[in-house]
Amino acid sequence: MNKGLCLDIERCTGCKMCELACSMKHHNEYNPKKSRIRVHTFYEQAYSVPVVCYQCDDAWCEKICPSGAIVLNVEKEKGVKMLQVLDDKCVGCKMCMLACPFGNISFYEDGKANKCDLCGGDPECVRFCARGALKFKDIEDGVAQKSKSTAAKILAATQK
Amino acid sequence: MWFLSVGKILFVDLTNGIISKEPLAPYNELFFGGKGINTKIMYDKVGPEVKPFDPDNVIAFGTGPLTGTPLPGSGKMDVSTKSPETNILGSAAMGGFFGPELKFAGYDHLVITGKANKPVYLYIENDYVEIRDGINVWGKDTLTAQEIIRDELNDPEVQIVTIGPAAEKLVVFSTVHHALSNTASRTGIGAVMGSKNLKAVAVRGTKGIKIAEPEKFLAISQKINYDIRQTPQHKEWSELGVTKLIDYYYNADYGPVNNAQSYVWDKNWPCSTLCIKYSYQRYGCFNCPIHCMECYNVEGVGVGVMSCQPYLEITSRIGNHDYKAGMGLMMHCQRLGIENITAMALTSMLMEMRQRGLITDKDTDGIPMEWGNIDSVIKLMYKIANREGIGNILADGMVPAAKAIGRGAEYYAHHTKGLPHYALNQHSFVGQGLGTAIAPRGDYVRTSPDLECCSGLVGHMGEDEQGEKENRAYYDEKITQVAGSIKGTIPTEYEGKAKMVAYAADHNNACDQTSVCKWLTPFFDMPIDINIQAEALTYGFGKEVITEDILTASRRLETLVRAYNCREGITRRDDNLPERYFKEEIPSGIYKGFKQDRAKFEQTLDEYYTLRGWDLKTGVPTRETLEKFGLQDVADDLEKRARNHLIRLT
Repeated sequence: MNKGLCLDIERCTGCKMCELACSMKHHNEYNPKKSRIRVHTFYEQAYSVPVVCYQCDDAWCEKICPSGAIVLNVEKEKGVKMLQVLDDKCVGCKMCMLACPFGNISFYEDGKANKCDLCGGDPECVRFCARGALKFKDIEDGVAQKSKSTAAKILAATQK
Repeated sequence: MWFLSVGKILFVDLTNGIISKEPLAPYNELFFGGKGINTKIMYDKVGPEVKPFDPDNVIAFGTGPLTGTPLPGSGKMDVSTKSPETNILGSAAMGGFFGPELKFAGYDHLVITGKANKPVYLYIENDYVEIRDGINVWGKDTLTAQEIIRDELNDPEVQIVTIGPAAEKLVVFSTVHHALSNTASRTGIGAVMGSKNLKAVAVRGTKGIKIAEPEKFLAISQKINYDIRQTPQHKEWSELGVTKLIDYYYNADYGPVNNAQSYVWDKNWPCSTLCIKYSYQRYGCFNCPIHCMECYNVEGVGVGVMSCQPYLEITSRIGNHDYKAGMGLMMHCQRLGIENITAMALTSMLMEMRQRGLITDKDTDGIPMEWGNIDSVIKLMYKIANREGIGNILADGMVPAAKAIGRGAEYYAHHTKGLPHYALNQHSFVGQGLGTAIAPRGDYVRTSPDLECCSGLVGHMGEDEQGEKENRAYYDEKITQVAGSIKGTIPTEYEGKAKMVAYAADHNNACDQTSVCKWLTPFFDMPIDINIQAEALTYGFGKEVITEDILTASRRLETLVRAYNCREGITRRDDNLPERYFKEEIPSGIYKGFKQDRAKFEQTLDEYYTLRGWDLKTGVPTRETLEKFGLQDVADDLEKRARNHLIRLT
């Protein structure tokens, strides 16, 4: 089992409740700018896309951190792999922010790297998402379904 | 120490380029925020001597204490000004993300005065405020302008309100547009921005909002979040918006057809089916679990978002059965920044006059104003936006346009105080009629006795026998409680309607101040009622707020807006409905044969004025009422004007 944050852009409405929930959980204030998950709305297409740390298996941020403050924490029973920032080791050099190609690490006044760690295995944002655009589930789930949809399209095309 | 509210008003004087930050106190002693404080600012700064397009007119963007917080529906704000469409107080509620961002930047209200000497836009980033050159965005449509500003500021997360080309030409019913499809749409606030050469306001805020008791506030926010999602209506509102409700409206003869000549439209009009067929995504405002808007991709026009009232405006009002074409029309209106209801009211007026042979195609610049001819309507919209030909006449609003067109146009121009009516039945739903007649801005968006509408829908919502019985019992009980009479359940009965209108207005004025979207209140069968608002405010402020405080502030607001309008010259005579509703019997359908009764209507006005403490002859708030609400300065002001024969108090 390998659980991760699954982001469904077909269901995201851009409401930013996830940003509020995240900032409250980790920074004790309602301030979407301090959220670790960010939602971008594209007006031309009327779609909203949430972006958050992908918990890379071979992470740039973990490799580049000079003080070993970013560690991969695996909880086998929960089926979760999280890249966590150890605040007491983080010196605020921002190398991780520069290294992450996705823009998923940020810094605020407290000087520590701000990145998603799946809330230790029970993500707050998922609890607030009203439309189920954010789900915490087996990563493989979505893939099997997508694969089957593709199969159905192939079948439909050959049967025409 | 400020909690919930930030405690600051940002004043911008565009004439002299002066920017100042003033405390929110003492405004917040009378009102919670939002429309309440906006109205007081308007009363203090914009009197009858100031015309809507004068530099001295003010535009007030006002958030409330709950804006930007985790309590669902916290994206709303109020925008107020002196309306160029009605020449009285104009105001509109706007959702989206601008309100929260303004608060995160550190301001509860943004108040704009003066006039820039060339096109500009305002840029606010926390404490930094700049009036920037707007030449690159002037003339652009409402979506393109936002894109250009985001690029110019190199900030994809900046939140922007903008006007479209129509407002630049001072079309008196042009909108203030934000994000994809959030607008401060009615009463022509966009035109006031245009008159100030102000194309847009861009805000970026990175500060947080302070809460006195965060755990309790979060707990109630989370609980409401879950409660909303558990309600049976949630599934419908969140996946279909109001489209299913509109199906019921048409079943119940609640939707006017062809400029309110009748109320019988296609039975089983498939608004919700078409929504499912054509819309591909949902769109919503900040922190909202209902995301009430539908996203459409219309061939030849592009992507757009629609919700709520426009579904009736672009279809039955103008005799259009082609849903998709209607949506395309709506998107043109949105990009131009033209407010849809007035635009369709003017359109249907012309269409009916053409139907009756009162005007010909020559009078409309060769554009055939046939029922349901969407191509013609779109052409007309561009004429209005550019103020060309017939468009130039219509751009001045319904009252001047009807006068200019003549030939009896006034009879087909359905408005109150200059603001055209919603395409909803105010003919045989007499409570809706009363709500419109006394409405502060001219339409009943905040004064509609929704209970009467709900009662009229019972039996038309596709319920089975048992369901219908339960609905009937529920509304019978609820309405008898509010109206003091079971007759309140009957749309054509006048008894009890004044109480129902006051009840609705009090609850809507509450959320207009505290800043909760009405979709999340009992108005839409949702749980954020004034008790929950009081509880949330108590935890947020760290000092007790009881339901009575909110009701008092609501009633105070209704009286202050009334005082403002009376100062402008509004009297009982203006609390009126189109002659058609009193003269013509409805020709067909459920309410066949009904027409409004003038004497009974006047009596409901008496009842409403009595409930409010306003003079029965003039409709002006009495000194006693004003002082009861702590508005002595307003009472003194009105009395002074009466002494100078500018207005009459009794």
